[in-house]
Amino acid sequence: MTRNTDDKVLMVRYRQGEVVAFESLYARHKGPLYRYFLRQGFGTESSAELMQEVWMKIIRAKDRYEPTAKFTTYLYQLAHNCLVDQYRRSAHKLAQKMDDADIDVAQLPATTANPEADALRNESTQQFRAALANLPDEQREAFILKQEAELSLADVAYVTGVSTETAKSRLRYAFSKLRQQLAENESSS
Amino acid sequence: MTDQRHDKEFEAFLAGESELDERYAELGREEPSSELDAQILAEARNAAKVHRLKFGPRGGWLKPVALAATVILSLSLVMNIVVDTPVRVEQIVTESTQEPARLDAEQTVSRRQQQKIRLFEQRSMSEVEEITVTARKQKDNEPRSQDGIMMDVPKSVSASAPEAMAQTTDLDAALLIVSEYVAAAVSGRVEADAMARRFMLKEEHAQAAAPGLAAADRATAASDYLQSEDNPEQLLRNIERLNISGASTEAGALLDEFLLRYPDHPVSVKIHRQDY
Repeated sequence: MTRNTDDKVLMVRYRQGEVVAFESLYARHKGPLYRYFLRQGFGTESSAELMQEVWMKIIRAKDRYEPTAKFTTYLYQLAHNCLVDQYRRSAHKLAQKMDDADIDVAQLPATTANPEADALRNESTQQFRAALANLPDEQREAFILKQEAELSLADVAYVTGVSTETAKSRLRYAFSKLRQQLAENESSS
Repeated sequence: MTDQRHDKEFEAFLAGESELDERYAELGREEPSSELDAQILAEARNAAKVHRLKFGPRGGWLKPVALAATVILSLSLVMNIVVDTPVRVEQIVTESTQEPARLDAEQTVSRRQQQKIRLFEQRSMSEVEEITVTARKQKDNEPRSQDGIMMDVPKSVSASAPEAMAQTTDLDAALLIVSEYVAAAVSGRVEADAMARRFMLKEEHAQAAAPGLAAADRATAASDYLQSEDNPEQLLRNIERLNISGASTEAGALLDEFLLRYPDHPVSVKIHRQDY
């Protein structure tokens, strides 16, 4: 299974019973999908549950899968639906701040030999994380889809069920707010 | 100026080349736990196993065979429809053009059938009366046993009754037979003319031994009748002969039979049942 094998081909092979194809597919997308939920403001446990729910849907619906669209848009469309359902179930607000306890320190980038620089970078990261959490739900989702799933504007619009213009507008607002927040943080520090 | 700069930065962001992309990357690349990975992959393997059982080497023939069967059935159905359609249209056109003629024919047949039934009913009623009287006479003359059971009928008496009644020694049974005849004829369940013919033959046999007409003439007439069933002219001659010999009842019965069978055949005034 080469790295360049198309996701759709892998999914079709898995539909035909080839488990190795699914393993490749899972390895490619498990991280971004997990972080898609994690960055929305859910803790590690909730993010893991939501990610599992999405993969279970893919596994159960494999026989009905038709390679018409990109697999990534199919995957994140399911993820978007799970996200919306989760909001409805728990009345969770996207603006809710991420719990610091949920941040996996082991997953953070490796520290350098310079403690001052590390402390500065950690602070900057926390500020960016906070700024991201403060974004409105739709703007944050559009931003994360673009960053994690590397979706185009059209795909972001397709996944979230809005027009391309609306998706672009959401991304522009998210970009402006994050940049403004970072500028304020830099000036204050 | 500021807007233009902002737009450029946004374009760079969309292209993944902005400062924000770098800052986002600093957030880290968290991954799900290995336990979760194992759980999801196990589910995927189980689902694939089920798939192999359903569509694998053993079950793999099901889908193509089902598909082939569906295609063959559909094709045969379509072919039948295509082949049948012109014939059906042709039939409809033919039927619609022949419809008035067919209706006329049906009406004619229906009229003839009604005429036959009416004639047979009239005749049957008179026969019922005749048979009843005969049977009553038999009953009066018949010696009875002590327990009321009828004894054997003398040959001279039974020979004077129609053949259907010959073996009947009970008045109620005789009435039952006759009423069944009438009911069957009225309801149209029995072919009227066939019944009439059978009845006629029986009567002729019985009448052959009756006084008032030479037995040989009656036997000849009955025999002729049997031989000339499909010859209307011969039937008419028989009727005329019977009429001349004085057996007007038999001649009338034969004429009824004749009219039932050949309602459109011309009958001379001489033969016509003005004397019956």
